[in-house]
Formats: sequence, structure tokens, C-alpha cells
Amino acid sequence: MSRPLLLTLCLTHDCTLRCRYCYAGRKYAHAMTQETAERGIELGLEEAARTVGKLDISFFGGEPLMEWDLLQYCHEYMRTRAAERGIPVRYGITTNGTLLTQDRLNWLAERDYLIGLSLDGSPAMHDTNRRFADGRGSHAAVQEALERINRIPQLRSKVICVVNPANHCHLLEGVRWLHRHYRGDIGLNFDYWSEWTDAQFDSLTAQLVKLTADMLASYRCGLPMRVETIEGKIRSHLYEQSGFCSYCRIGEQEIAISVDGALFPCSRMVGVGDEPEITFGDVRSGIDRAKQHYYIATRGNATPECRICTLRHRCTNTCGCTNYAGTGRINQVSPFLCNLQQTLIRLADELAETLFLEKNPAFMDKFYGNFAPQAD
Amino acid sequence: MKITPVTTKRVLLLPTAAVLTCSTVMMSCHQQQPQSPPGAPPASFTADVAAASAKCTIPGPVRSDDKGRQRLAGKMQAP
Ligand code: SF4
Ligand code: SF4
Repeated sequence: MSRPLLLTLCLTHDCTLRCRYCYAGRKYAHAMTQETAERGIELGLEEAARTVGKLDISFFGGEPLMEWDLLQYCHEYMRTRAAERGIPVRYGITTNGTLLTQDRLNWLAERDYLIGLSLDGSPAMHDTNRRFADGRGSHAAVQEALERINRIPQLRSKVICVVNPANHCHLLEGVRWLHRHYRGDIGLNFDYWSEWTDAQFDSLTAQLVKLTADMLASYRCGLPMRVETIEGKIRSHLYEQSGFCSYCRIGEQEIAISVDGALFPCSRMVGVGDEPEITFGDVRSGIDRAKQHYYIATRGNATPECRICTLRHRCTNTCGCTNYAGTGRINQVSPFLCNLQQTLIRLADELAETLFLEKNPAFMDKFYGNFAPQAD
Repeated sequence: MKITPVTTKRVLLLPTAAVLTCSTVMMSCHQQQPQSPPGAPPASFTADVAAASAKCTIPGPVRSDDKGRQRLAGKMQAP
């Protein structure tokens, strides 16, 4: 079963915030033109038709809600053209929440959007990095958006919590805050672009140890903390045999389109600038197949140490953009990635093993579904 | 920090399963959307297990038959 092609449109580089870790680069205020958007959508549909036959479109930025009219236009254009071509499409948006009014949220919910809300946990954790241009923290504004999301139970959403060297010391408190205020999945996105010192890594590990202890307690009282990053590692063990885990298909599975129409192999590489060595074509000339093949041939992981590592199928060592962030190469892992992956896997395994031996009902239900053991 | 491979496999007490989707771990604000709705195992979990079972060898995926149930219930040696 292949995944849909992911088409990401960066509607604008502009943003209401000036987050300290943002790698979207300088905020230039121009938006994508309608013509670029249309060409991008046509290109995505063409590529989906040629390959997997289905498409996910994700709106992105900067802050995509700054271009609300354009977003609605793109939605309608995509819906019409995809229907004509018989290609199923799902919609998503990643937003910082500052412009997520009730009307807009209702509009997105009616169209079954998956909403990724960037919210770094508690006020202290979030406001360390996520601030308005005048320096004010944005937590209070984003909390309002979160509350609006909570009021629409059928809405598909997820919170994206970035963890970097500056805010990691608040991690435990941040995830506790999210657990109290939100019922959906919490994704921890570690900042691979930054330098992490050994001391910072040790203190991150200490936070993660406490966090998994909290997760254990939360399962025991029947209301599990939904930390996708840890749960993903549990699944990576459960599904390891199937060989489906964590293999990055950069160059094939995703096309991200910058404001100016350049094509990138991953949405997280758009922000680093329109460097010709990263792009693989643009909406006017189409996909540069030679470069696409270069990505496909180069991707994976060429780090010699990993070849003998027993964790290699459970570790994100093949993620092209993560590797690029850490080492400047899509197939070379960084020491931070290695240390973090080993820590996450160890903690996830300890947590899962304890819960499995206890036959914790919430755990069994979540990870084994219908195959959970019957009561004796 | 160094890249140091783990060369001895720890034997976990929880059995493996087989499934056709997995969540990609992504970083930062600019993140790919997850491929399935949040929550619970993938909708097709039950159906997929049977199909995927055929491909898997030792230590075997979770099955809906008694063996699988016993293994899950801890009555058999877990892989
Ligand atoms: S909300 Fe996202 S795009 Fe805007 S400044 Fe923050 S990290 Fe960058
Ligand atoms: S844990 Fe480290 S050595 Fe092992 S596969 Fe991952 S990056 Fe490579």
C-alpha cells in the first residue's frame, strides 16, 4: 500500500511570528502568485497520476493563514481539477495558530483538513522561542486557537512541539501542559539544525526520562499521554519485522513548492533558500528528472557505523532532510541524531515492556487493538 | 557526542506485530502531516495483519489465531 504523494505549497514566506529557531529564513513579504499555485497543483496532480494515483496537499509557509484568500482559491482549484482527473485528495495545513479564527477553523473542519498546530507546550517553553516581532510571547494567542480546536471533536489535528537547546529544559512541564489542555497527538520535533552540547544533551535525556515516567503513570490511570514521538518508537519495534519503518523516500514521495515556484524534495528543506543544489526543477520547467534520480540514488544512509547497528531499522537514520540539517548531506547521520535515537528507543522500550507485562488495558488496546489478550 | 552503533540486540518481552503504515518522525515547525488520523491503530490494522502475516517469518507477527493470543497473554515465550 503506497502513501499518497505529498504536495506542499508554501503560500508565503511572511509570518506573524519571529520564532528564534525558525529556519524559514528571512521573512520576505511576498506571497505565491495564483499562477504559480495553479502550476504547482497541476504538477502535483500530474505526478500523482503518473505514480501512486492519490495526493495529499498541505499548505505551509511562513504562516499560510496570512494568505487566506489564496488558500481558499487553491483548495477550490485543487478540488475541481482532482475530481476531473479522478484523483483522491486529502487536505492539511501547518499553522502557528495566531490567525486561526473560529470562521476559518469551521471552514477547514467542514473540508476535513488535518491541522498541525505549532505549539511548544507551556507558556515558559513556548515563549522561549515563539514570539511576535515586538518580542512578546505568542502562547496566550495560540492557546486560544487550541481551545477552538478542542471545541470541534471531529476535527483532525495534531500539536507540533519543537524542542531545541534553548527550551528543552522545560520539556516535561511543556508536555504536561499539553496533556492537560489537549486530547490529540503531541509530536516532539527535535531541532536538528542547532548545535547541541554534551551538557545540553544530558539535560535533554534527563527530561525525557522524566517524561516517560509520566507517560507510564498516565497509562496506569487510564488517560495516556499521547506523545507520538515515543509511541512511534514503540511501533517501530512492533512493526519492525514488516520492514516498513522509517525509510525515507526523499525525491519521490514529496514535492514542496516555494513561494517562487522552485521544487524541493521535502518541505523542511524549503526554508534553507533556493539553492540550486537542493531544488529539483520549478513549476514552469517541471521536475528535473536527472536531479530526482540523483536524490533517489543517493538517499538512504551511507554512514559506516550504522551498517552494523541493531537499531538501524528503528532509527530515523535515513531521513534525508534530518541528515541534511545535521551534516549537510542527505545520507550522513549526525552524532546528535544517533544519540537521540538511541535514547528515545531505549526509553520507549522500557515503557512499553513495563506496560506490556502489566497488560495495561490502554496500552494493549492502543498497540494491539483487537489482538489484545482476553481476560483469563 | 559520537556515532556509536548498538551491536547487541536487547530481547524485548513485547511481541512484534505487522502493519502497513508507520508514523514518520519529523522535526521542527515545518512538518509533514501524519498519514493517518491521530489516535488508535490504523483503521486497516485488523485486515492488514492477515495479509502481512504471510510475509513475516520468525518471530512472527501477531495473529488472530490462538497462538497469537497466547503469546500476547504471556503464555508462550515472547520473541
Ligand atoms: S511560526 Fe513557523 S514560519 Fe513563523 S516564524 Fe515561527 S517557525 Fe517560522
Ligand atoms: S542508532 Fe546511531 S549507529 Fe545506530 S542506526 Fe541510528 S544513527 Fe546509526
